[in-house]
Amino acid sequence: MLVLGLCLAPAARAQTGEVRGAVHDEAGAALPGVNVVLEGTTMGAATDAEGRYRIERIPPGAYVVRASAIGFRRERQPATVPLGAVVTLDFVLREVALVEGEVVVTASRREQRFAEAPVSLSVVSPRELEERNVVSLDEALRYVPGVQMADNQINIRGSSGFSFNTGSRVLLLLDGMPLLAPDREGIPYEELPISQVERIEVVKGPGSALYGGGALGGVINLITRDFPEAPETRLRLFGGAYEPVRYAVWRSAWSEADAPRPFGGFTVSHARRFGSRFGGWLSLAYRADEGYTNFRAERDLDAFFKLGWRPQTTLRFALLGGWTWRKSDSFLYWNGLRDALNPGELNFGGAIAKGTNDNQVHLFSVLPSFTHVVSGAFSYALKTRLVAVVIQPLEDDGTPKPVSQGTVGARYGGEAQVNWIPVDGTHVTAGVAGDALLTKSSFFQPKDVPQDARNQPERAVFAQLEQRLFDRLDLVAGLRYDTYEIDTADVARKLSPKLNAALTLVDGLTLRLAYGQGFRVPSLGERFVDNRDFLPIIKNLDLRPEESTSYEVGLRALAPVAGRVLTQADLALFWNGFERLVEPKFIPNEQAFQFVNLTKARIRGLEAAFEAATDDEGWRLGLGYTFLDAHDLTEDRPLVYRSRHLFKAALSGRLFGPLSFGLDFRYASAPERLDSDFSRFVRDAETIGPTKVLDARLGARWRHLGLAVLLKNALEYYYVERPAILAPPRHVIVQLHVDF
Amino acid sequence: MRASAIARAGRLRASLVTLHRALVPAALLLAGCDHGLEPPEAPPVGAIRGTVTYVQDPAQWPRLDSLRDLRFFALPFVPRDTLDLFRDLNQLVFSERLAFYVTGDTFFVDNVEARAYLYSGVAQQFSDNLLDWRPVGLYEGAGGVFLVRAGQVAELAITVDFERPPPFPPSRAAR
Repeated sequence: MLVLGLCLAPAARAQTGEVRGAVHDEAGAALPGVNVVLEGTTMGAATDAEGRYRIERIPPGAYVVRASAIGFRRERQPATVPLGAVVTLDFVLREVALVEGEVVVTASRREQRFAEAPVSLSVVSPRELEERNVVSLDEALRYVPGVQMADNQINIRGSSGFSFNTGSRVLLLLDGMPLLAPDREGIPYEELPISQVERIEVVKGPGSALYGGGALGGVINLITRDFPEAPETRLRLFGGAYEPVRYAVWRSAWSEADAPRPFGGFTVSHARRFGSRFGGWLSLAYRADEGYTNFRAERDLDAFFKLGWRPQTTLRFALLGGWTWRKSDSFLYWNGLRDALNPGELNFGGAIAKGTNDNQVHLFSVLPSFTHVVSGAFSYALKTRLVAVVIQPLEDDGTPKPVSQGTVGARYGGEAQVNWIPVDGTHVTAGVAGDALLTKSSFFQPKDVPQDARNQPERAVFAQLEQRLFDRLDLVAGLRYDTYEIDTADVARKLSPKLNAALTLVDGLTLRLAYGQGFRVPSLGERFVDNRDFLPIIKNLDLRPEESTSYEVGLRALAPVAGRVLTQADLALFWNGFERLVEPKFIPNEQAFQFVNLTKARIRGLEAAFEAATDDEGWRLGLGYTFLDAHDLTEDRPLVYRSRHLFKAALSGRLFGPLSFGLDFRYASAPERLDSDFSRFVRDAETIGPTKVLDARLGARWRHLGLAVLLKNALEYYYVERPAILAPPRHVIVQLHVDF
Repeated sequence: MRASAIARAGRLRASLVTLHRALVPAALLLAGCDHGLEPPEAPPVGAIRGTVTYVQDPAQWPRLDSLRDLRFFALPFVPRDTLDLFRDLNQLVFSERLAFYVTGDTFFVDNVEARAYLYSGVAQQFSDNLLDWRPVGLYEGAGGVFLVRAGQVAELAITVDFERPPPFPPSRAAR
């Protein structure tokens, strides 16, 4: 496909004109990296180090030229481009604090303004990631309204709950490409280039009409940084310790609990351009964590790179790749609430299943892509992906066991997408995608049976039509058809539609209506795991895909006040239906757990979010409240592991001089109902209360140097995010940034 | 016009500061009231001591391939069926493994929660499956019920007959 793209590229020539100019801020400083585009087309350019831009090969005609950059209010100017002429158009952008002018890509598989996205969407900025010392994705998401983490599962508006290692019900994308781990379709939280993330987009609600399987409850897209005009090197060092827990009963059961438990690490990255056509960044990160419970130590090393080549202004190649090594103990469940820092054992007498395991993981990813803007109205992109994982259990002395006793898996595939603007105001996005999962694991069958590789090929075709009417109404209709080869004799087929509408009532006030469907094909792990080392689990080849349907009405308001303070409010009412949710169930006849299609459920609720920030980013306030009415329609009782109330508050500001502070508070009410099967085996697994966590930070920044002290779980609140594992106790982090 | 807008912005900025002043104590109040989960009080404990007598001679015991383990067990409830057995498995009390191919043995289980135990005996694991257990002899004194009192030792005597194991699930009449 990439070769095909190269062949087609030179064909894009026409009798054209050109728009060029410069972009500055209000103080007259040149602004590099500003996106300047001709609205209603895919033609555009980014400004260089001197703030200059040039858009070539523009068909003669009248256009609206838009300049936008993160942190600045976008500006638009009309321009008429005569044949063969050069039109000069300069912009002055005003700094803003909110994301009004931000460009997002996940809602429609193309760039669009955040304010116009016809779905519920949250954006996490790199500034937030840096200020909170976020080193893994789950930490970043804990601060997003409506998102709740249940250890290894992302729970967007209650979509996931906690289902004991089922695959993720939220799809993870890295630069638009799926990155779920091939073995269990879970999210590899630590194996992501967080330090190089430009922003994280969180789409709340099913997204299968655009992205296919996995997007049952939402989509998370990590957008990595592009390349700066000037070479840039960043070093971040951090270190800290978990405080000894408050209760002597807990400390007395584990000899190492009386002393602080250290952790630390570093990230070093370098990004630069090589001439006007090449660019790249390289990032290396290491993290060591002794863990706050017994058997929870972890070491991570990851290296990621991104290379870009733009042989012509209309062509772009990108290659994103990475390797992660992790050696860790996994704490699976505690030994009861009186002994919460030690892993438990399943008390069957004789052979004992332990509440911990340890392993070494290598994860590799290679994600090449090619984009070609053929004309102002037509572009296409070709993307391929390979994600591979090797998991090896560890011997008692820490030596990895042979791969044959672990898991080897790969996800590989690709997609082709076209974006076409047949007439102004109409946008067509369409494409095809194909992926395959190939995994071989010693957990997939009893140990005395030879291992077979398990495969699960997927194919899809999708299309979306966006139509703008009366300059204030955007209508979107999308459809995706997926086939999943569950085994050689059985193919699952799914048609996923979506309908959205966004109506700009007045400037800054948008009403949106959204309907969409989602589905998730059970992971190879859910279908094939057959193992009794930790919990007795048997395979289930009859598992069917989970499905969801969502309806939403939302209102988004952006209200700048005299250019000094910007406010943003969002209110959403939603109704989500779920069919055939997969949950582990104890099967008495088999004397083991099995993943089964168990539950039909309905989750309805509302979400309200508010942000306010001063224009100089000196003060920022964020509030989010989510109400969930989650009902299990099969059992006619509350759905398990869903909190009814979620509340988040964030406040940050400048104190004096270089000093700044930040506070983040999150609250989740205790789930109304818990799973009883797990509680039969694990002591006190039914103990799960509300979450009330306050994080505080104090920072100082001086030129290229930044120093911050963070106190996480500042009020020493003990809670669990999933059954039988204590969440991190109070811990302090000292963080040093140096930017060269 | 511009002056009033700036004044509005100033008021909003002041509001933000006020909100900050209100939010911090509110967060402290919300989160600081308690420390969340805490270890429960330790339940009072006692101990169980027992003797096991085997009906069969060692030569008549099951073969090793169907005798993977043998332990004393006690449950605070009488299981009605297999599912019930797993209703609260972590309440099961187990002894150390008993000796194989002997005429009799003793056991001692310490730190046992002080309470009534309604169903107890000796269980045999008959395959490598973690859950493949069956009772081969039950404690039958006092209607099968015994009490572990705090700080005290309950004494039991159990007879095991591998050829005539008690039915499982136990019938109501049998108990």
